[in-house]
Parts: sequence; C-alpha cells; structure tokens
Amino acid sequence: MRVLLVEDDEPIAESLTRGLSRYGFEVRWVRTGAEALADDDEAAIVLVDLGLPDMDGLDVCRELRARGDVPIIVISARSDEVDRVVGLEIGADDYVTKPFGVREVVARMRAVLRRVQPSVKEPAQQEHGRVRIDRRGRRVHLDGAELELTPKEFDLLSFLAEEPGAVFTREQIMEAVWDENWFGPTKTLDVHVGVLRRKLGDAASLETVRGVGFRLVLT
Amino acid sequence: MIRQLVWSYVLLVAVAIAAFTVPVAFTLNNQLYGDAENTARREADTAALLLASGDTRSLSALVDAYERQTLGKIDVLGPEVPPGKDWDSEGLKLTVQAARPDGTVVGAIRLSYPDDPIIDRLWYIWGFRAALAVGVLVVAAFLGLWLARRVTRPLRELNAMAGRLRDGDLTARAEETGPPETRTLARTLNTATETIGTLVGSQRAFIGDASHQLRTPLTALRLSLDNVADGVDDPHVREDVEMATAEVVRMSRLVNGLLALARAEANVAHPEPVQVLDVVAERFTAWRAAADERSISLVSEGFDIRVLATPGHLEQVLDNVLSNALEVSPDGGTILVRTTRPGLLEIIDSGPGLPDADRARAFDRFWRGQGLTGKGGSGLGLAIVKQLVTDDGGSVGLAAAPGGGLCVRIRLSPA
Repeated sequence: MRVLLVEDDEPIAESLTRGLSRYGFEVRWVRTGAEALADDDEAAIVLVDLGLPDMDGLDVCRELRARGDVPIIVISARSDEVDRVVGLEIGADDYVTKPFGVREVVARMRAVLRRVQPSVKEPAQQEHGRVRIDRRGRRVHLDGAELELTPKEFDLLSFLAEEPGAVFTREQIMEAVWDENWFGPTKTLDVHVGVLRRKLGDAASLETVRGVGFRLVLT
Repeated sequence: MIRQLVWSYVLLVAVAIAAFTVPVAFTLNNQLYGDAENTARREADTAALLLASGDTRSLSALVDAYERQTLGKIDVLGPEVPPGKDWDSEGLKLTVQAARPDGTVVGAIRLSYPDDPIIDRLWYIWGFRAALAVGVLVVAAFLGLWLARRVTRPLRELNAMAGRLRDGDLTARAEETGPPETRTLARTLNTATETIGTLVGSQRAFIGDASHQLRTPLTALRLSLDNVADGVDDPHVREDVEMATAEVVRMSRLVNGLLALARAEANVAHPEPVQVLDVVAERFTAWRAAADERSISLVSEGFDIRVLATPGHLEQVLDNVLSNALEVSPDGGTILVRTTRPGLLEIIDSGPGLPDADRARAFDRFWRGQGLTGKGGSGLGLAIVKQLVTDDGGSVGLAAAPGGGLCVRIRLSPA
C-alpha cells in the first residue's frame, strides 16, 4: 500500500519509512508541501507534518482534501487543542502528536483506512484467538459469548487490538480513544484497563509496560 | 479625583472671596460709623451755635425737627459738661460746648443717636454679601465639576484602556490626546503595551519553537528504538530497548509538562465567572471510575460559589490536585472538596499529609514528594496548579487537614 509521507525532518522520515516498510507499506517521502502537491501517484494514505519549510501543512491538507478524499493523518509537534481542531476541521482524518512510535502510527493508519474505506480493507470482524472484535457492530465476543463493554472500553480494546503486541504510550491512547490531549493525569485509562482485564480474563492480557504505557497480548 | 478637584476649586474661590471681603469689612464699618458721627456732629454744632446765639426758638425748632425726623435725641445741658464723644451699647453720645464768639461757654449740647440703624444696615449688607458668596461658590462648584470632568476625561480613557489590557487585550491602545501630561502618560502606556505584546509574542513563539525542536529529535529517537526492537529477537535486547523507550517517553512527558507550564505562564488570562460546583461535579465524573476502583469516595460540600477563572484552568487545577489526592489516599478513604464563601475551595485527602518543610516546597518545579506520589510524577503538577491559580488572580496554599491528611486551599476572586 502506498503511503505519501510529507515530513521535512530527515531522521524522523527515515526511521518512519523504515518502520512502515516493515509493516508492508510502500513509503514515498517528500520534504516539502509543493512536492507533496506535485506528487500525482495515487497514494492510499497521506501523512502530513504541519511544520513544513515552504508552506503550512494545514494548507497541504486543505489542498489535498479539495482534490479528493485520500485519507490524511496529520503528524505534528504542535499539540494545542486549537491545532488539532483546525487540522480535523480542514479535512484531516486523524491527528497524531509527536513523539510517537512506529506501531502507534500504523495503528492509527489502519483505523483511519478502515473508517474511510470500510468495504475495501480488512474485514470489519477481527479474530484474535478467543476474542472476536466486530468493529462495525461495536461488539466483542469472547469464546462466542458477547462481552458487555462500555463505549470507551470498546474503543480502548479495539485501538489496542489494531496492533496486538505493540506498546502504546498513555498519551497516545488518551489522544486516540478519549480524543483528548492534555498534560495531566491519565488515571481514567488505568481504570478502563483494569475493567478490561477483568472482563477479558485469561483470553488476552493487557500488559503494563512500566514508564511507557500498555500493550495487548493475545493468547 | 473629580471630587477632589471640585473641592479645591470651591476652596480657592472661598479663599478669594474671603481675601476680598475681610479688609472691605473693616473699611465699611469705619465708614458707616464715621458717617453717622459726622452727621451727628453737624447737627450738634448747629444746635450749639443756636444755643450760643441765644436763639432758643430756632433751637427748639431744630431739636423738634431732629427728634421727629431721626431716631436721635438732642439735650441741652449746662456749661459745666465737658465736650466728648462716646460710643456705648446704646449708640453714640456726642457732647459739644456752645461758646460765644468771645469764648464764654454758655452751655452744651448732647446729641444721642442709637446705633440700631447702623447695625441693621450692616446686617443687611453682610447678609446680601454672604448670599452672593454662597451663590458664587455653587456656581464655582458646577463650573469646577465641568472642568474636572474635562481634565480627567483623558485619564478615564487611559483607565478604560488599562482595563482592556488587564483583560488580556494586548491590542488596546490609548488615544494620545488631552493635556501634555496625559499625552505623555498615554504614550508611555502605549509603548509599555507594545513591549508586553512583543514579549508575550516572543514567549509564545518560543513555546512553539521549543515544542517543535524538542519533540522532533524525541520522535526520531522513539522511531529508531521501535525499529531496533522490531529487528531483534533476543529478549534481553528487547528489554533494554524497552527501557530506553521508557526513558524517551519519560522525557516526552517532561517536555509536555514544561510546555504546559510555559503555556500557562505565557497565557494572558481572561477570567470568566465559573460555577464551582458544576466544575467539581464534572471532574468527579471523570475521576469517579478511578476512585471506585479503590473504593475511595469523592464528596463535595458547601455553597455553590461563583468565582472568576479562565475556562479550563479550574478543571486542570482540580485534575492535578485530585490526581495527587487519589494517589495518597488509602483504599476506602475519602476525598472531600469543600467550597466556602466567598471564593475558597478546599480539597482534603485522607492520606498521610505532608511535613511543614515539604509543604513549603511542594509548589517548586520538579519537586517530588518522598512518599507516595514521588516516584512516577513529573514534579510539575502543583507548579502548574500554582501558575494557573495565580494567573486568575487567586492564591493556593497547603495546610494540614484536621484528620491528618493534606488540605489544598485555593482562593479565587468571587464573581
């Protein structure tokens, strides 16, 4: 799958390119907004950094959105609420703040792709051993029996299940699931993780990675 | 200011009136009494001449006419009475000797004239003057009020501008009009605002730059570590990489915290009235799940006070304080949020509390408690609380709660 990466920082772009390739994405990297707009190969998804040398990343988003409905994920060092809102208003499909890990980006890309093109992508139902996640119906089955989950618990599980085994930081989970990005306590997260652990039993384990965040390990 | 100006106008006018009137008063009194005396002397001299010439008929006609026409009285006395003049309580008593052309004194004339008419006249004149003075003072007061309003108008405009500045409107400029003094003040104020605007602008720019500059290498580092972790199978190496990742994440959190603090500092507050119990209830909802997990009860009590706070500030403050409170409270404990008029908000936990020395330092940046919250925290939570509360014109302090826990006291201006 082709990914257009618009990022002016070389180390980030290189590492991200390498990381994404490992997950089967074919990355075309451009440094400037002009190059991004000039790129006429059909990309399946576009990652746009907001701080570009020649123009504002938001303008790139707006222009791309005007041309078509390619999924756009903004990657930015600016985590202000205003920037997020503007980015999403302008037509970006998601907003990921730096710093992020490879798997977090992959998870967000998959989620966006699924949301944007539900028919084309992977089946909406995901089987992970004993756990079956039905994203369209927002239902989770454990050993065939439906699990009672609150909306947030479902969002959390389905987000972590995008990349089983990957570590997600608390901040990234808060950003993706609660749609909030604030410096401060992330205790709500611990509670939901606690509840999910109880409900999933030994079918899957939500491991705490000390100092970082959580990962879902399916058995 | 206007009142002071008006008072000083009135006072000045009053002093001027007094300065013009008092000397005149003495002259006027002297003149009135002098006139009366001169008239009396003329009459008395005439009577004395008549007495000396022995024309008693004319004399008595004169006396009759005098006593009929005026309030005075003329007595004819013997030659032994000495001449003299005397003002006493009844009025003027003037004695003139009647002497023949050869010098023999044949008698004396005493003319008595009461001073009541003079006193009446004086009262009349002074009453009129006093009324006039009061009238002038009233006019002066109104004129002064008008003038004072005119003079202070530029100051009031400056005040309005300073008010907008206080509310965070850095584009506020004062019009440079009026007298030179206020013009200079307006110019100075405008320059100061300009400077503040530049400083705030550069601080904001710095925050933006710093956030970008610090986050970019952290992202690259994080991505590289992910790539390393994905590329190795050795569990020990993976563990090492995970530890390195944890450090990167920790550093990112620190950067986020610092930026949140810097943003709070650069933020020019626009406090608005906030219903405190609503915010408390909202934050309780967010924290209820975390509290239930450890059977800690969240309780709020007190008046539904309204305070001035920038939107979002009180929420962040409560989040940081409640997070600490939850951390230190034992399972099954209670966290109490108490509101007291006019603008006091107390958050009391049931933890072990803090020693005096720590209470003093707890608001320092990067200070971390020895006890329960120390290990995982960034040391910035309370520093941010202090910054946000101070921004909204409030104050925050720590006290020992009666039950042994810690009491965070937040005072905000009542709305």
